[in-house]
Amino acid sequence: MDEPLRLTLRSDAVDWPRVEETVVRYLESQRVPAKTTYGARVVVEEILMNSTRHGRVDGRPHEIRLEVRVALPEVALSFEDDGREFDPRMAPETSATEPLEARRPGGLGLKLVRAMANRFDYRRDADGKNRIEIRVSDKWGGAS
Amino acid sequence: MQLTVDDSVAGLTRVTLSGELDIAGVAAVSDSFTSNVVTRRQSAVVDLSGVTFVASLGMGLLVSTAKALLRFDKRLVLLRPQSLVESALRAAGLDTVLPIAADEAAAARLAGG
Repeated sequence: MDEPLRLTLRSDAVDWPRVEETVVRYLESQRVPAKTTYGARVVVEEILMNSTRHGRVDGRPHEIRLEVRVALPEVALSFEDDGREFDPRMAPETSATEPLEARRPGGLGLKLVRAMANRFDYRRDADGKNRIEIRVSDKWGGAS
Repeated sequence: MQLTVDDSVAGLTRVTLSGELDIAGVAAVSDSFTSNVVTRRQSAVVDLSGVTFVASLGMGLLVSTAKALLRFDKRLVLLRPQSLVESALRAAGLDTVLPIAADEAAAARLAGG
């Protein structure tokens, strides 16, 4: 197994196309199946977006560290930030039975993450950092 | 991310999206997509066959546009999404509010056109 991919980002200056392209290229270089790569990319986009939008403390930007490790059939995605405490597993998600006219913005992203994750862990450590670890494989969305 | 609009079928807006509907892709087409679809006040078929990636932001664009059309009693139908895109749409439960069609005839029927 090659070295993990590690990226350090500032919450107010995320170059989204570069981040996503870097993650996808790394996973492709590790011969990760397309479905697993798709799921991993969704998780990266959703968790980073969540952190950049909701993690600010007193309006200050914070640092986000992303690590991507491949241990097929899974990809492990670790996120660490020093933003405000937030357990994404507890956030409300859109109900699948809610009719279109009642739908509100938000809630879709974490619903997707939950649907794609084999494992979804969160902890707030004594050093004041949020740590999220999510494992993705090709099992999401039914048979691959 | 590219967007083209076809008005050749009376009473139906046909929009083709191609590329990646990621954060940058949504930013590139969001205004154009919404204005082209909603201002016509007619049902719309959105051809997704050229879209290789969509996550919640792109899905939110589809849902909010469909919701805006619903105010005029019109529908938005998704046409021919690629396999992984369709799996993602279903994983998010979008298939419960946005019909997904496998071909043009089914899309027109679902759109009520």
